Amino acid sequence: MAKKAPRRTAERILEVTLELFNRFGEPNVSTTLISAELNISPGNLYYHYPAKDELINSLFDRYERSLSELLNASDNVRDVEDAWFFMHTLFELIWQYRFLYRDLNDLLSKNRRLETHFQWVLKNKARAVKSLLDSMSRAGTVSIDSREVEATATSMVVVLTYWLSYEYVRDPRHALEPEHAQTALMRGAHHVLNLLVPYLETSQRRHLMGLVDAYHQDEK
Amino acid sequence: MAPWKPFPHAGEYAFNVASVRQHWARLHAGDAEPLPGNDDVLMAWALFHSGEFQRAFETGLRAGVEGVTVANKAACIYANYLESREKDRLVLFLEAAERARELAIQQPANPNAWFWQAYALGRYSQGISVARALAQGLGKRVKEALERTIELQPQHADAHIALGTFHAEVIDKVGSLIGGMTYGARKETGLKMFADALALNPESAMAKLEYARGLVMLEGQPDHPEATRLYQQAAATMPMDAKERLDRDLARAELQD
Repeated sequence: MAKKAPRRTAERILEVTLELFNRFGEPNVSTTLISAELNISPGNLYYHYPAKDELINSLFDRYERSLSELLNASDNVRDVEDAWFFMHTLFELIWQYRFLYRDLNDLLSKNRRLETHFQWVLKNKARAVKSLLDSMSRAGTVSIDSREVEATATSMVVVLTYWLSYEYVRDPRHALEPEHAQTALMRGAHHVLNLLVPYLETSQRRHLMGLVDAYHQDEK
Repeated sequence: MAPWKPFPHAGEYAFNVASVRQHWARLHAGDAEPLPGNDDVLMAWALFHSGEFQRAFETGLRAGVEGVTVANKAACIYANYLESREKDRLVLFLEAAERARELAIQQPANPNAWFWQAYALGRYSQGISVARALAQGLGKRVKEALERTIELQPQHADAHIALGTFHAEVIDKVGSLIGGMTYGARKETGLKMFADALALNPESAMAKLEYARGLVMLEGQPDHPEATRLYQQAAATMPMDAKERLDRDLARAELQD
């Protein structure tokens, strides 16, 4: 028999579960649906993930790892163009794991790991946004009073965290479907960065408007 | 509860009272259950080995105290391999654990009264998430019941497997430090339990599957070469009854693209 690495099934289960959670919402996806979608026996699913919580935890761990790596790049942001790219990448990651944000309160109330780790996610996001502001201040693209940094960073984190919920409420049937990803993410990045407008140096402010316009044209 | 889902290879492992009696030693190499004297109980076992889990369960329960173990095994194996509804599955485990607990009170020297209590509670714990189960104090009950099983029947291969899985799960979920201090879980003990299980029952696909999963958890290496080897061996076993077939199918699925 050819030598094949095991755990392919475990990987496949995670991929399909992520897709189902994202499309239908975690509370609406049963293990029955997951094993049916994968065409594997329930025993096979339980062998790898005996509880639905284990699936949620494994997916969350992946999200947390990728997020950590990405947030560490925040101190390389020098100008609006970098910031735009950074926020866009961040939103892409959030989009990839949007089930977490879609039913956040529900997940927090029943999963201990998420309950504790999501607080860390928020703190880590706030830390990254502050270092982004620092880095942009040093580069002279942003001018912000140190007393305003905390509140601005917090507002940016709130928009970053709840933007997809806002998109969802606006159009529950379509907002989180893949074909709406690009516009939703672009709007999110725009609104997060818009909070920086009062502090942006003039040419940077114009540059941001230019970026926004360019994306709007793409949309049309 | 809805009727149980059928065994997917119905009819391929047809046993009756006579053939179960004839192959008893081989069929029970894993759980070391003694040959029952009662034909009704043997009938329940014949149904179990044929994959008629619900009828095995009902026939076992009707046979009274002597049929409790076959009923528990049928319920647990069905729940573990075939029941897709999480809630029903957990209920089956809890009910089996309770029946086994009562049996252990009546027959404290019956190894399988302890074993099925541990198995049912262990799978239930995995099903609600191990961390939560440990917080509820289920870890201690599972471990003690398994140790009691082995004390009463040192040849009980399946109890060695389950105890290996216990050590692996606890270390995987709470880490080796807390796992060791709070629940007495040790990597070496876990690996030894799996190796002992295989020595006791070398043909067991389930021992190989759980060993492979335990290795991955304990060594933290998803493509552990020894795990691959175990899956290949498990996939190559010749199942003698329905349950062994389910194990082999699982191993084969693992090696598929």
